[in-house]
Amino acid sequence: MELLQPTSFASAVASSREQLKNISIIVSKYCGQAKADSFLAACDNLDFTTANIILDNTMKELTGYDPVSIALNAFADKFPQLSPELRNKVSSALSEPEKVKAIDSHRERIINIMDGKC
Amino acid sequence: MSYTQSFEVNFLKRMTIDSLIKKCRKYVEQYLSRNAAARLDKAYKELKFDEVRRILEKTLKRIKIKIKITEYQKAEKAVLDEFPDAERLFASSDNMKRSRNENMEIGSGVEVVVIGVAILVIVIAGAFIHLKLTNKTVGEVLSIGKDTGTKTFYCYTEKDRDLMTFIHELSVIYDNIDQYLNN
Repeated sequence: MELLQPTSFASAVASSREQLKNISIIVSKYCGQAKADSFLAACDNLDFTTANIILDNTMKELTGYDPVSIALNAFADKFPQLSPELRNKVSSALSEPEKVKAIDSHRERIINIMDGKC
Repeated sequence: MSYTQSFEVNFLKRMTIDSLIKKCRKYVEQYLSRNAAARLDKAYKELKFDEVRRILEKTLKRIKIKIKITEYQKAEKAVLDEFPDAERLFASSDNMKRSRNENMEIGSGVEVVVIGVAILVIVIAGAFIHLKLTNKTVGEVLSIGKDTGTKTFYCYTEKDRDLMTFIHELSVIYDNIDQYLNN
């Protein structure tokens, strides 16, 4: 499973420093500072394989699911207030990045649900 | 300020189940009887939640026929906005029509609070109370993931929030990649 694609990894590193740093903070919280450091080092070295393994491990820690695809589907299922729209979008997405984008498009409502506002 | 305006679901959500049950006991006494309130106490103390639910549902039915339909609808909307899964508690459209004809001139804003609390308690009694989380707040109980047989309720944790941040940052990266590659 690849959250970051090999073909675009270099451009991700080049154009998304701030986001990679923010992700490393979450990696640190759930997988330890050493893994977070390894993640940033892997990005700096354009080591796509290591970076993705760390992202997968972080996703597993956050959701309890090993395959990223299942974890994202399970997360979408967790918001029945948004179904079937979100669930359909995520389940029909062909790649992890598409699933991520589908969930993120509902970000505001999901955060509101988490905050108990709807 | 009217009682209608002061109806505040978030306040209810901060109450514990114990205190909410106690608060609703007086509505059971008011709309059913002292005996029913005593039975509620006994059933709740003995963890007989089916009996608790029966008494509360009967109270709700009694409230429905005593208040003005517009007030009832306001309460229904307030509760449904907050708890969509409470839909099963509400009357069919036929019953609503009959109530509208019979009760248009009865009731006041006070009952909005009454019915809001009663419905919330029924939601809790019907779906959550068996979890024996009586010292939790309503908000906490309503956010706990549990398949109740007919409906599933979910717990939104700090991990969910962090996962959402994680997903958001990844999503921004994908957008950045698109822009980067297109420039």
